Order: sequence, then C-alpha cells, then structure tokens
Amino acid sequence: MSLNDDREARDDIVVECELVATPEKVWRALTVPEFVSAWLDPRPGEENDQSYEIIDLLPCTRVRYAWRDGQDEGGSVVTFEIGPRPGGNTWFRLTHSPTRVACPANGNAPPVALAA
Amino acid sequence: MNESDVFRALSDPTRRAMLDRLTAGDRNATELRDGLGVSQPAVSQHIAVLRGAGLIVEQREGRHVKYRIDPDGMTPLFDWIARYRAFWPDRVGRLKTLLKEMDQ
Repeated sequence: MSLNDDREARDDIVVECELVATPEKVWRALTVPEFVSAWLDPRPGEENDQSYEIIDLLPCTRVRYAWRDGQDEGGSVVTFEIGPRPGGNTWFRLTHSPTRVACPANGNAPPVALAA
Repeated sequence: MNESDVFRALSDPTRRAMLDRLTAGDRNATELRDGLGVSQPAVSQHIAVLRGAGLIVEQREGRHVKYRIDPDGMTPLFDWIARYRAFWPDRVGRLKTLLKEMDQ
C-alpha cells in the first residue's frame, strides 16, 4: 500500500448523485436543523452516538459539518456540495474525510498540536 | 488502537511521507528524516506520534534502532471506511425520501 500525499483524498468517502429537487430545497434539507435531523439522525433503536455541527457554508453551494461519533472522538469533516442541473434537479456530492481535522472558521485554536 | 490517534497521525504530510518510506522497508530515524526538511527533534516527535497510534513499531538491535510498519496499525482506518461506506448511501437514501415529502 502506498501512503503518499493523496492519502487524504483516497481515504475519503464520496457519494455523488443527482437529486430530484431544486438546489434551494436540497439546501434546506442540508442546513435547516429539523430537516437535517429527519434524514441524518439515527433511526429509533439504531445505535449511533453521532453528533454534527456546521463549520462553514456557502449558500446553495457548499456546507461543511464537523462530524463526531462514539468511536471517532477526534472528529472528521463532512462536506456537502450542490449545484443546479437541467430540469430543476440538483447535483449532489458528499465527501467524508477521516484524516482532515475539523477547524472551525470562527475558531482561533489550531486544529491539532502538530509535532513539527 | 484508537481511531482518533490513527487519524491524527495520518493528518500530517510529514508523517505520511515517513510512513510511505517505511512501506518500502525498515528505516532508522536518519533514513526517515533524509530529505524531508525537518529537524531531528521533530522527526523524533513524529516517530513518537506514529508509534503512539500503533502505525509503526520500534526494533532494537544493540545500539541500532529501526522502525517498521505495524501491519495491524491501519485496521481502525479500514474499519472506519467500511462503516461509513455503508452509512452514507443509506443516509442519502433517506435524504431522497425526505425531499419527496418536503414542500417546495
């Protein structure tokens, strides 16, 4: 196995598809808390102590969440990107990066204490 | 080994470069440092982080110390990837259902 500088990109989980809804509607589903929790939160009885919080957003274009779950207390970053498609549909891409450390745009602390 | 430790260890380009070298074979600290443009104390700290995360192990032979990849070290990363490869398509399916139910 090769471990080069592309490793972050190669470890990312990516889901890309076209959604049958307008970008405005998809944007609400990705950013309005009650909509987000309707599709993202664990189903009743599902064990998953996940938590998420918006780090930054670019309206109708991109939103990034800091993501945590019980087994991954260090946190990771989930990015949702959307764009218009013909017929009022929406292009959608989700990227979940395990080795990219969450760094809130409004935070002043460094993301990690690097050894160097 | 803790997943977060592994991710934190892998989040640094210098440490990834060091791991990359080790995939080609065992190295001592000097060989790991060669050409990376980092100080000797920094390399020692990087080695400590990689060892702490279980990604590499130290082998002592007399006064000589070499490092090698721990083949089990990446298991937390692979587990994470397997978990979320199943998780996200499921959630995107629920997102599609929600979009049908939402008002314009």
